[in-house]
Amino acid sequence: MRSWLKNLPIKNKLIVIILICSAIALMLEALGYIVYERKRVREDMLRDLTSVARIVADRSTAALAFNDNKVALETLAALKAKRNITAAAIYDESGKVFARYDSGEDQPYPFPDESSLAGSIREEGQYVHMVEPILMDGIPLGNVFIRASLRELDQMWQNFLVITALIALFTVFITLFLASRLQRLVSGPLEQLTGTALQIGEHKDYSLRATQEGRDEVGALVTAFNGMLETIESRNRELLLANQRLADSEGELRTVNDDLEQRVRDRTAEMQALFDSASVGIVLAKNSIISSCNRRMDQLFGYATGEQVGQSARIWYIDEEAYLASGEAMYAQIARGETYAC
Amino acid sequence: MHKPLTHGFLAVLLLSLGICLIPTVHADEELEDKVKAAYLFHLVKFVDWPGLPPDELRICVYGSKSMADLMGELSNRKVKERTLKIDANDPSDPSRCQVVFIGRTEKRWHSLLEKTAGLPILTVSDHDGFARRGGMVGFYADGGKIRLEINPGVTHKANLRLSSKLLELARTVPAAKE
Repeated sequence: MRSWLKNLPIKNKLIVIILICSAIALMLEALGYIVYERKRVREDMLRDLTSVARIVADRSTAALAFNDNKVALETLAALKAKRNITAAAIYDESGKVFARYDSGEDQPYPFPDESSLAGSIREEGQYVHMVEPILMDGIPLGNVFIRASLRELDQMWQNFLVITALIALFTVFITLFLASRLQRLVSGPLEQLTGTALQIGEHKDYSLRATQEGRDEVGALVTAFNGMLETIESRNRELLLANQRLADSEGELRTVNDDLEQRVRDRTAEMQALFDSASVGIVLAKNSIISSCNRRMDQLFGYATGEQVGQSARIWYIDEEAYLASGEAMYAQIARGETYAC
Repeated sequence: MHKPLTHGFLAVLLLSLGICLIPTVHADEELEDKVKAAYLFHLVKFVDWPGLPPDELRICVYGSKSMADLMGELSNRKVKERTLKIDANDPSDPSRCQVVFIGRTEKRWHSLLEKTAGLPILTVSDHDGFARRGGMVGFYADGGKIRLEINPGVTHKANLRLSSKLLELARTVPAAKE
């Protein structure tokens, strides 16, 4: 249920939430009302029956006192107006039936003598039995007995439930209508924001802006969103500019580099020419190993071009002793910062 | 055919009044008087007197020994929040009574009616046609039952108010005179 609700669009979510809430509220209200009404209608009916019984009792005093049941019968016959009263009787003090009434709408009631008159209201299945004493000047003369059907009450119940159900249905429809209209207040700005975001995601067009419709949380979100877009856009611009600049300087650098390389090549060639055409032998050695020498040096010692490269300077000396002595002198001089020539 | 007065009903009626059923030779007449006594007692409750004494209600019985005895048993009972007093000694002045019962055998009934005329005194009798002849409430037998006959014209003149419940079950008759 909740995961199903989670994936619903917000507008449907809102409608569902509003419907659930209002339906529950309506149900609770109807329940409370039904319980209250049930109690009230029942009490009303019993109160009504009690007052009818009292009237009958009051009107029957003379009839009982002077043993004339004609008036009592007339009084009871007037109960026909009360449709829920199916039977009624006036009992004399010994518990014998003095006058009786049967509405004829039900099975005839047997009116037992000495009917257990104790207790003024008693329920017997679908019927309620009510007994009201007939008093005159404080002296009991007998009792009024009334038997009323509760079926009317049940019928009222059914009507009541049907009406409640209809009202609930109608209310749900109205709620649905209102909710589907009013949810736009919340979902509208959100939908617009989502649409803008999706469009930006699809077309990578950061110049788009979401429109702000209110100053609520969504409005704040729109402002923040637009601010972010602003930032992204300006960053993009800067990045583009920096890239441009970088590309430009790279080109410059290449030119300078090319120029320098050319110069180095030129110089090297010059140097090589000088080196090669020098009238003295020049040799470059590192750790007494010859790394390079000019043509004159090759000529001086009778080597082919490049033959001395990689050889030890020892090849120039006749013995080990001369090589070491010469080396010592040379390094001493170099250490003193002087030029050694031989 | 009406059922004659049943002993059961009477027993109830008399039980409620505290009267015991005593078997006598003239059982029928005895029963009848008991019913009448009970009726007389109940009758008081359906009548309103103007300026009723606050403490007592007096019923004077003329011309019927058995009624006098039966009513005597009811004396000192509470009725209409007052103590019931029974005067059975043929008082010469009936004006102290609220109810005057004149027995069938009473010959002076006419003079009693004259004495009480215009006074708020309820006159009751089992004399034949009593109400027709200027009385207020008469007892008559009808199919084994004792019923009431009322002359509302006379009660009205005497400023007595009779309950509609009483009038409902009684037979009303016009006054003989006027």
